[in-house]
Amino acid sequence: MITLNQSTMSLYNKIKNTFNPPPSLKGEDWLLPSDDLFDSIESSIQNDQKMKNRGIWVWLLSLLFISGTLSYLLTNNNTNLGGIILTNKGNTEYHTSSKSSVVNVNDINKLNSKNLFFKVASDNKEIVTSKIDYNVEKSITSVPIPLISSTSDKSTSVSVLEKSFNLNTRTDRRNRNLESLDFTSVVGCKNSNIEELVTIKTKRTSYNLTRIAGINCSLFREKVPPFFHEFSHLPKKDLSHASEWRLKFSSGTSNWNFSLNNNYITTLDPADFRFSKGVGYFIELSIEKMLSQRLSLGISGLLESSSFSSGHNSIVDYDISNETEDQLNQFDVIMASPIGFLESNIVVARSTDANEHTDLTIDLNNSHSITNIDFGLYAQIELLQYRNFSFGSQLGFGFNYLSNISNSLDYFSTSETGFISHSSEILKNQSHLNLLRSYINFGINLEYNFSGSTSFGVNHHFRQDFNPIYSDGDFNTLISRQLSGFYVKKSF
Amino acid sequence: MQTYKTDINLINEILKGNQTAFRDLYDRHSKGHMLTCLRYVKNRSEAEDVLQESYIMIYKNLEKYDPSKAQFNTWSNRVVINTCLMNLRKRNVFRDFDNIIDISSKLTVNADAIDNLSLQDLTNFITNLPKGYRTVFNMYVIDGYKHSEIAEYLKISVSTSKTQLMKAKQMLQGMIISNDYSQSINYVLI
Repeated sequence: MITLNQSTMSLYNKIKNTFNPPPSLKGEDWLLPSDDLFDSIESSIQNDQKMKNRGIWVWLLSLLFISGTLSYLLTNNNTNLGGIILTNKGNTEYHTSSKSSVVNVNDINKLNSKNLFFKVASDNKEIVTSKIDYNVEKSITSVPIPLISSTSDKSTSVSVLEKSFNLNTRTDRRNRNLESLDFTSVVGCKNSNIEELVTIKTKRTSYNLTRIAGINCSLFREKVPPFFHEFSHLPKKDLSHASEWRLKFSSGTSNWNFSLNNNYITTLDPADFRFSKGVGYFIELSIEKMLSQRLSLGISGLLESSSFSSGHNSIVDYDISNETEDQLNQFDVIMASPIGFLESNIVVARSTDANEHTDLTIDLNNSHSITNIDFGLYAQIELLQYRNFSFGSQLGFGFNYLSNISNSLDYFSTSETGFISHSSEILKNQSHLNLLRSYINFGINLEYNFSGSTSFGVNHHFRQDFNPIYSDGDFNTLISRQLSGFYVKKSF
Repeated sequence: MQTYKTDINLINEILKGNQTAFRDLYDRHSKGHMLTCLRYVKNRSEAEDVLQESYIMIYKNLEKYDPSKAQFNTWSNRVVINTCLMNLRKRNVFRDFDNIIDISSKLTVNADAIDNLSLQDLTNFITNLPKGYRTVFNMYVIDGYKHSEIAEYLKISVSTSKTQLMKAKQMLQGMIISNDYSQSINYVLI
């Protein structure tokens, strides 16, 4: 027989020696996992692989879609004015509409005529017809395109001030190999003179041909996807002040939404976990480069501050034997927040008689503050114009960097009377935070242009993170942000 | 004639996409890993869940395994332990450690009985420790973690880790003295 302490040590040593080094498991069949466990493992792995592959496909398709859209926007020269039409005495027509956008120089040569007509039409109504005095002998370097005629229809009477201008294709070095260029490109590279030369008067209004030229130039240069065509009829915007670069300053409020995954929520739920949305403000500076009348690319830098609160219950064992002389007892408590766990030390004061051990439910209330820096790249598309107003949309992506986080335990209370909060201290902030995250951005804006170069607008953006801000094992939290504010934009 | 394949051979085959090799690796090591799981979690069902999770982790991280640093068994066992700890944390975040159990009896036990305890008996003793004690006991006594490492893993202080170990020992003592020895074994086997 052995004594109690001996038995404890004996059992302790027995366990220690049995498991170290690892015991031989021959014959220990009670350790065999159930037969179908490996099948479950295998199927989980295959599912994971499928999900991974699916994710890759989604990414690739998204990338393909974005690349396709961008390349379409950047390369499509289609016009939507109802078509620019080249005719040879009415016998042959070359439409520069979306259906047939390519009319190359060879085709013009085949026409072998000096009677090409250049028409501008809208809603199937011809507005301007110009004769292209094409001279093969003179070469393509100088093709006069006089505006020589006018047409009318039932509702619109058009008169055109005749004036010739040159199509000086040689100004573009790329045109050395004209054979390979399509006609729209040649026209698109044209002149700026026309803007000051022609006036079209209708019964309703007077069009300065600068606008028509603007249409021509912009539409030939602009990359307008088909779904925007309907908005592109005869823009009323005066482009005489348009500039290629814009500087934009934005400011406003931000709202952060925390999406905790199911495991995280389920685990925290029994502790009556709650949290608020992040609310804050931002300032943003952007530079935009206009690629066309309606499309621009921009880069932005944003500084943002957001605050939110969280809280939950925690149970501690108040042990009188651990009390100080002042009847204080301190506890290390792990606290949860939407973006991970932090550690704190709380001190509870006892003001009444109590048992040796008392289970105390502590209600913890925390506040958190985050500073975020955001760099993004975006495409801005103007969808609608009305007088000086325009409505646009923005699509882009970028990176967030969480530059600072601060936490404070605002207050705590206990479930038992006679035990009160005394003091608290945060010992350690959240870990397992992904400081750098990527996001996708979608936004809309309404803008008012109150001078040629200055605009004012309001915008709203939705930014969804791709990577969780907090990730530890099966716990993770994704963030989406909504930014609403105003902006001032200056062309330069 | 079937040749014996080392763990490294099997791993190389798995990395080339051979699922049969993964089955072989599993068959070779699953009992040891099951023993680890049973030490850390409360019951067999949970242990199998954790084992499944562990093998998925092992499969996913197999490329990261460096044979020059550790044997596969050691490395994979660490993965299993980490999965156990993660699982424990998920299940009870806010009350990680248990109250001490007062032990006042003074009894004597038969030393031979202790010597005759089987691996299964000892595993059951450990399994019946409360979670906090069991975790620290396993990590410190069997898996060779230091108190500072335990504190870091479990997000507790070093002194708490030491206290939990002490309480675990007292609990083991309690298991012996609060039951007739043979009964205590029966008790823990339930």
